[in-house]
Amino acid sequence: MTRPLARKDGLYVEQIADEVILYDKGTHKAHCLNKTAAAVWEAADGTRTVEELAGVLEAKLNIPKDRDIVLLALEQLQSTGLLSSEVSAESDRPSRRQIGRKLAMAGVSASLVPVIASVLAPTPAMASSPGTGVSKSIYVKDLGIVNSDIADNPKQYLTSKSAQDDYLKGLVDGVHGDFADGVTDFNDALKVLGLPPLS
Amino acid sequence: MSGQPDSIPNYSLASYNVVLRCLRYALAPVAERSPLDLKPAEVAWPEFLSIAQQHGVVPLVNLAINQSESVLPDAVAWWLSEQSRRGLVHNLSLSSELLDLLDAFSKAGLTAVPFKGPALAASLYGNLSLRPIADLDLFVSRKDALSCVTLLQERGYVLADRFPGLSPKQIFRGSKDIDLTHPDTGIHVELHWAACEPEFDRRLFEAELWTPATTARLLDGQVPLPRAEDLLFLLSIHGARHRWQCLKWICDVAVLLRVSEHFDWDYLLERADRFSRRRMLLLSLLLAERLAGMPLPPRVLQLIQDDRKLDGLLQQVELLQLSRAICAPELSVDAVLEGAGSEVFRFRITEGFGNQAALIARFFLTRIRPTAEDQRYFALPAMLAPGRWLVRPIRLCLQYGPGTIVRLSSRLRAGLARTKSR
Repeated sequence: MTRPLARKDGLYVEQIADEVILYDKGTHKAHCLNKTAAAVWEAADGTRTVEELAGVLEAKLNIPKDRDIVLLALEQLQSTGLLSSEVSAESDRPSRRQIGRKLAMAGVSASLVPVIASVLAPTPAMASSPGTGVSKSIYVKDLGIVNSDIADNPKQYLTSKSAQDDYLKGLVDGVHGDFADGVTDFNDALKVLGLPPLS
Repeated sequence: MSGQPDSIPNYSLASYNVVLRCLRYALAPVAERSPLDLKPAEVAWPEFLSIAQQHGVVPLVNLAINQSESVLPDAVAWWLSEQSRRGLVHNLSLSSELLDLLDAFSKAGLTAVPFKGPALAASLYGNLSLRPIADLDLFVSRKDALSCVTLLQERGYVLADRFPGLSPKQIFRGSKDIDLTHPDTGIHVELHWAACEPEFDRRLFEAELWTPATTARLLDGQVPLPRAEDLLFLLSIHGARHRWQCLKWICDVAVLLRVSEHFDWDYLLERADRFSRRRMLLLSLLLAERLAGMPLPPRVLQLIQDDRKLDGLLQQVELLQLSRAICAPELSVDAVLEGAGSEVFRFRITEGFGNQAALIARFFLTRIRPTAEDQRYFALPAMLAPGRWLVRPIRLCLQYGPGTIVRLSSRLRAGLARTKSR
């Protein structure tokens, strides 16, 4: 592959913070590209060589010019179906860890190692709870990570003594672990009492 | 926030107020922002996150924190960006489906106008990631509703079992919408042929308020939208129906006011007055001003000041928002009492003695009017149809039993006592 060509058709593109999210209309898969992977995907228009793409990364993200980084990004683009041309396999290519180390040695954040995460969306499990767009179970599970971090570093989170006591007693797990169901009319009130709706 | 019960802990109120500060920061034009000045050690983070999630404003909070370059604990920063990322993926999927559905409706000669959801996110916020979307809401003409349902069914959508035993005709007459879900994707579509339930307001129920007047770009397509003033009126109806319990609905109003360049207040007020719904409209504007920090023209502020009932309604909304956000059963309004509270809210937001009397009459009439269920329970021939009015109370008494009245009233009494003790 001399001049890589990224696939642009059939994709919806949105940006969020430092990431680019590509949504594949055909497969209903979403791909989250970090800055480096996104820069390669954007620049790979079939006119630039791998070396030229490395130059783009240097100019855009201040990453030392290195074809291995570009090849790692291209490999991931190919495996996620985001590349129209082929990447040739090279057996002696450095691993992701080695590239991370190389970047760190050059004083560049290891978070710039090209990363693409793919998710299928939406699944019935993602069918959202009212007003959120993210399922209740995912939300509760993720909030658990924050809570366990608090257990380890309470002072980092809470200066109020009473708040610390409440959280550390595990009260919050019970309180925040569930959504209050909205009671909006008479039938909801019956539901709270475990009764069928008025029909 | 004013008038909160004493028993709500200081840190809960502080968390709610920090969420509001973040929203004001995110919604203000960049040049007019005051520093967010978030002091990480002062925030009860899990509670803060929970409030943001409950109110559907995680992406806006995340935006405020990122753009103000506030320093957060790592786990909190991770949580915010993870929720925003997942939300965006979900929204992209819904947007893609919305475009496909609008195309299918258009090919079948049917007009559907999207409400809230991706169209609103794209047209108001200019970014799909900033507004969490639960499902797809589409306004359709009452006469087209059945054809739209059929079209969705042909695409694999399945009707929710909300109206067992009712014919489509009965559903269209007595309800405002119908919901369908796609079993493979989990995508939920609500088809609306009215802006509210007949019990809420009969005249609004019968009006078609969503005439498409403009379009908005969504991904690689265009979606029809009503004019900004009509959209604001529709958002006011929606918020009032749900007592504005989600901050994201208030943000929608605030953003709509901010992005609409030549807002026709005369048109909007005339529209509200035509339906005797000025108070409902003014409440949405008051909330956008007080909670989301959106400036209002002096003329509107004067109208708000002139309506003395609005302050009480504002306090009711604020208390509900806070109780709901904290999710603490001992702090929130009793669930059964809350059911009654929604009726009280509807009553207070309704203007004019005649409309209030009609609201009460409708409340009772819709609950005592015989239904298909009563006819199934004890089938009477058409010539004895008036007898169905007797069947219903008997059936309900047997179904629920006298114990229900006792339980319901004891819950209401307990809830009222708790509210008084605060």
